[in-house]
Amino acid sequence: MKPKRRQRLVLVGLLVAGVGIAVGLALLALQENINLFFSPSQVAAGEAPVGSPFRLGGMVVDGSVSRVDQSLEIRFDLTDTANTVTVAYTGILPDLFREGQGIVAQGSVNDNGLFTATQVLAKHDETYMPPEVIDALDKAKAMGVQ
Amino acid sequence: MNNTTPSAWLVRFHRLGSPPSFYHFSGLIIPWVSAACLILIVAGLYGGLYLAPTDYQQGESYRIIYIHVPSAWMSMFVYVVLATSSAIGLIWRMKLAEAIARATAPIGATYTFIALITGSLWGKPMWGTWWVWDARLTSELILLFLYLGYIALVSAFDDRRTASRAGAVLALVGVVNLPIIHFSVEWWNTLHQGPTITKFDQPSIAISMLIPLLLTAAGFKLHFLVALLASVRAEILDGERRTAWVAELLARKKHA
Amino acid sequence: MARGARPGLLNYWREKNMLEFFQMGGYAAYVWPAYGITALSMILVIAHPIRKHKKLRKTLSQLHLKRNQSERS
Repeated sequence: MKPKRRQRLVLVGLLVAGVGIAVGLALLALQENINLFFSPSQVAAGEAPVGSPFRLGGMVVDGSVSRVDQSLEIRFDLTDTANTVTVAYTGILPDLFREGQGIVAQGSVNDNGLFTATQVLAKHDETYMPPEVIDALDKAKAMGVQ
Repeated sequence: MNNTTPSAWLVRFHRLGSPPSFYHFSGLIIPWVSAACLILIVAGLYGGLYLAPTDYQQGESYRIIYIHVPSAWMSMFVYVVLATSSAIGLIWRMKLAEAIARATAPIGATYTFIALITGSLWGKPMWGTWWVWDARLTSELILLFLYLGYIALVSAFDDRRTASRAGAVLALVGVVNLPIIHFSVEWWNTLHQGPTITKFDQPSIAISMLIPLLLTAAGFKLHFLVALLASVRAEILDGERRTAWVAELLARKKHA
Repeated sequence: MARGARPGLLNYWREKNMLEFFQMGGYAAYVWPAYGITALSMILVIAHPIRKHKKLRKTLSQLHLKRNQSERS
């Protein structure tokens, strides 16, 4: 390789590596701000902002969804298996909202620890299967337990 | 002359790097690649939209996957082509590499646009929102701005070669965004789900759903090839309009 | 072995009618626009350079012809 070309190759390498390191360090410093939501454990540990809105993410606990009498308010528990936060929400729920589903709720915590949500988003997993296969898998799992 | 010896093939391959050979060669293969592309996409869509079963969670809405995932893959793949040809153009000053770099940017921007729009149309019914500023969506939007920035920068110069060199630096700076897009769903918590197919353990998708996806993905790759060849051909003819081979080409066309 | 334990290619293909196909389980308003925008963008990104090439070739041929005529005269 001609020296001139080698010099350009080195420059290109340095450019890419330099930008990579700079951006990598910046992202490392911003780590917490890039995360979309806080987990119930982070809320329990006091890492989430108090009084100001933030996003809370977790699984809807089975059997915890209830309607508050004579209102459109719905309440459910969000868990990350270690800690649980109760969420109150009035409004339209996404089609994927159901018990056991991953949820991201936007809102804030009051003094009693109740999270009042202004928006509820559903997070789905990366599994794509026909219902029959999921049924078969569930059955197989149930038989394995017995 | 025997054209089938290995060295003869090597010479032929090397000649492809010259604008006239590339121009003739691309003109020959574009119809064939287009036909293959069309067959793959039609077969993939028939499988994906009609034959593939309903998803247990997302119902029929998941069928957007057959264009969303291929376009998202292509948005990143095309950037790899843009950055690689930019680096080759920058280091070896190869005209064809520069032409390829300039031609890829609008195509890559198109795939990125498709990935963002189809993702939004998928997110509204499933997530409950058109858009959320999570790491995956934001880094993909930055990719669109990188493509648009490249196009704007290159078109700001009158001289084609200076333009290519300036664009190449921007393209190489933007390479850092590619691992961020890919790993965003693992490094940070996001609303966007993790990878289905490109993860190391078994893909978590039924085979009857996966096969149409691989077909459309292959179709998108060939679509990129057609768009790239067509675009580079136009670029070459424009850039070489004063050369002898173009004059010869035009003269031959007239007498034929 | 239970049917469906291994999702093969031919399992779970279900006959559906055209209405069902177009309704997309109620998600037609999201699925079809997504496909429409994609088709349009993908056609345009190929049609644009082909049209540019055709136009350029025509212009260059005319220039070439003119130059030849002026050389002869």
